Amino acid sequence: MNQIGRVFCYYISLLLGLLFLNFLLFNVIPSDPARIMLGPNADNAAVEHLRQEFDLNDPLIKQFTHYIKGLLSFDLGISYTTRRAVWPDVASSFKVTLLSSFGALLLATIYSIISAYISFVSKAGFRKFFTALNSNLMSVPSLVIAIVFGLFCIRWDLLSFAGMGDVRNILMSALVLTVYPSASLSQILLEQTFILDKQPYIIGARSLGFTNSFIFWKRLLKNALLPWLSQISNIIAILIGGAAVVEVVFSVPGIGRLLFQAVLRRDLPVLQGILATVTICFIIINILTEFGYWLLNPRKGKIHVV
Amino acid sequence: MLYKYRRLIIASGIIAGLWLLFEVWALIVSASPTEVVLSERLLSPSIEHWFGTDDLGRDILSRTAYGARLSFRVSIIAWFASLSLGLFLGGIAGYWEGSLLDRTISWCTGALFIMPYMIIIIAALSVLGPGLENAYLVLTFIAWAAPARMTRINVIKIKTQDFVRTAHAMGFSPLSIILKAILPAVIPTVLIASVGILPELIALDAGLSFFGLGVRPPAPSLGKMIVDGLSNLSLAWWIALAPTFALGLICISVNIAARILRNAT
Repeated sequence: MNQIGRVFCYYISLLLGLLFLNFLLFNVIPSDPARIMLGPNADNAAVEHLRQEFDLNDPLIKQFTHYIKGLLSFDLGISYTTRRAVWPDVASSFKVTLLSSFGALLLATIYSIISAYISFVSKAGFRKFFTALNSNLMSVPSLVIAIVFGLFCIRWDLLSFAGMGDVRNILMSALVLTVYPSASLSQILLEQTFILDKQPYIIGARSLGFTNSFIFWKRLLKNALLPWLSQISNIIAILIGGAAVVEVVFSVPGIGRLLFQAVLRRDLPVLQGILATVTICFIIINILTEFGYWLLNPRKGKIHVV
Repeated sequence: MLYKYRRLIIASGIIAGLWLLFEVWALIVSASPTEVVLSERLLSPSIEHWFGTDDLGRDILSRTAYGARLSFRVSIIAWFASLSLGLFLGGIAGYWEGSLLDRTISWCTGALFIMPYMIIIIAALSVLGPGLENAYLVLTFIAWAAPARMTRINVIKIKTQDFVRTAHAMGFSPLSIILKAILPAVIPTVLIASVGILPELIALDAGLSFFGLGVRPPAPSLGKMIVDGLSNLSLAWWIALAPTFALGLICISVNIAARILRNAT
């Protein structure tokens, strides 16, 4: 229980710290948000009026508590350019991104298990082949994969390129996004099967005459999946980062596209809202994987903090 | 001697060779990367323009060479800076293991590991404003976490050994023990492991210029060229082709170099 409490406190401290940094980044570093909003030619009275409207004259602590209160009631502020609330836009685009990332992770899981199965059963050069392939696939930026994939799609009219937000559009970004997690998860699983292969319980099972495929599915896979689970939050982080670029390429109405437009218009509240949502999302993902790991691990050891 | 360090020589040869290739290539290309020739807009690949021209009539080949050179410079400088920062902070954290300083540094690395790098970088740069100096700053700020964590673990392993204790007994100050005794013993391991960050930095650099937050527009950068090609992808496929392949080539070769290095230990 004590362990669980400590982990929880650690993540709460991370959450508050990151949100505070987020707040500082957008409310303190730009010398005058109101001036950015209105442009350099606006007169001083209008700027002052806007400062009043957005409570920019309050002391920092009061602004921060105001910000946290806003977050708790899903109020991320108002966009500078569209003058609409930020949260509904962020939520709807986040849904699309999560959908395509989930699809990508599903495909990655299937690929990683199949590649580990093939290299476990066949024993030949497959392990080396998959390791080299995965390592190189991991290093290719998702931008490159997206462009190459897009060029092929245009050449042979494979999938609709500009059908904003329909299933095929999301499928396409999932297909591109799946490359990194596939390679990375498969790499971990291959390494684990190699290590576990020399464990006494596998040797024992083999000497009892079980087939390789039985040993893989019934004895080895569950244990091999544990380190896999501990890496999943890192992989999702890189996946979301890749999604930011891929969604711009395929014009998927997800978080990346929203980010791109916000950067173009220098729309700070939208950027801040996206960053805050991503932060909260990743804290939750990390807590979930931490406890998932703890639940699945038969040895129930110490929970790993830092 | 030569055989002993063959992996180091081959790996650094790959990285340095590729970098040099783009540096020299940028010097010898005849066409200017920024000169606008409106009569030569959207030409498909030919003898004069190997990879065609873009929508302002600029030669893609020379733009790619300049962009790749810049990409190499940015990522290697940011890598070096973040490696030095990570070694220093990780060394301090490992030496005073368990102190408030160590906890703070570990908390920071934990916080950086949780977030998607691309989104932090984009948010930070759009507040600080686009530009090369800010890009160096933000990339360094992001990338120090991994080497710092690696250094910390290795310092904790090494600091109970005799040569550190001797230095301690001889009355050296903690800072000089860290800098002169501990870090030299740790650097090879951390250096080899953190070459793997380099492809990631190159990808991040391309990503931020893709978002228009890298070097300012007339100067060519790979990410910006890909964005420009994107709007003409179905009409003029060659605009995005050369920068994309240059980016992929750089990342894969650096990764192969990192793999060769890692097998050495």
